[in-house]
Amino acid sequence: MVRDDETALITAAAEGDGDAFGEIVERYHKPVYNLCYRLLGNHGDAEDASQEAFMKAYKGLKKYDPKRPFISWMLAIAYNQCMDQLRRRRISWVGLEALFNRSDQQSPSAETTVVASGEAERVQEALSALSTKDRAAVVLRYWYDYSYDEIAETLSLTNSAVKSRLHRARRELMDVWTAEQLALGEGQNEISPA
Amino acid sequence: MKSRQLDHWPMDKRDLTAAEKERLERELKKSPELRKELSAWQAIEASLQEAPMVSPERGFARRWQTRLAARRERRSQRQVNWLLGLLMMGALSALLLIGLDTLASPAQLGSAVIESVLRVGKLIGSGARYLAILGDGWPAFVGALALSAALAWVSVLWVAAMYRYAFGQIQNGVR
Repeated sequence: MVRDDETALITAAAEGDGDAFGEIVERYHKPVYNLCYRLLGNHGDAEDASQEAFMKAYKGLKKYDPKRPFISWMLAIAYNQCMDQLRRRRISWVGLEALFNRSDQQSPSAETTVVASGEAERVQEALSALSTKDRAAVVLRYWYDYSYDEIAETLSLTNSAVKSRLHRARRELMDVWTAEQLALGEGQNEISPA
Repeated sequence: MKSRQLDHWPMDKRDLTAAEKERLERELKKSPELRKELSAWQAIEASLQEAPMVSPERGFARRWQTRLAARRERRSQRQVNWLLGLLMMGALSALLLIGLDTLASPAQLGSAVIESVLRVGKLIGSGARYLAILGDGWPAFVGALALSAALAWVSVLWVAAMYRYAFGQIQNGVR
């Protein structure tokens, strides 16, 4: 039912109906935005990349293959947009401090759902230690529950490349996590009274 | 990267076959180090899976519609600029063809236009003549041919640019 409705919307949008595509944007903006945020690390860039990704999708709607789930196609466009943006702006991952400075500057609105819990911060920080492609593979695997084949299709990689990227990413995540825990432990030791 | 016992296992439990699961269970009973690593990894995995989907500010779709409208507006403005530019270019080329003598005596504009048309006609005529007597006038023939080809090329480019930029259909209103 939803799929039929989606097909009708896509057909209408491909014929130039901006409102129909607006409906598609309404439906899929959350997963697209989340991917952009996880890859770019701040709300301002994520907003720009996801808006632009929808613009590109609208423009290239005639190239969309209806056999493929629309969201996979959309996420692939968003991923490429983020890669372009990272290439252009040469964003360097300088850690949580820089990340928070940028988030504060670019999205102060109370309406924004901000990653608030300490655990979520740790997740984002650990992710930022990975390369963009590894990060994208991890995000698609754990947030979107994608299979290796789906990740391979979205990131234009082979199945085995996805497996090895994920394996490497998990090892790196473990390193970062362990190092953080050690640092946290030391910090607590320093603070606690003798 | 630190080397761990867990590195030799698929760290995603979804990747383990039944036989591998059994082997891992046996290994876990033997190795406390592997047990520790696995539980550390499972904690990370749980954090990843429980981390929330980050949402944009409310009104994302409305902002997208606004962006689309702004882009359409820019695009149509650019189209008008192209149209005016190309028309001016065409007019300037026509003026050049008519000749600078028009500028000397603007009153003779009409006759200058007729003269220019005749000049083009003559050029084509001489081209045809040279085609007939190829042997005698090679250099002049080649010159006339090159000039005609250049003129034709410029005209085709102009028409193509007009079609592409000034009147071309825009896919879904954005380019």
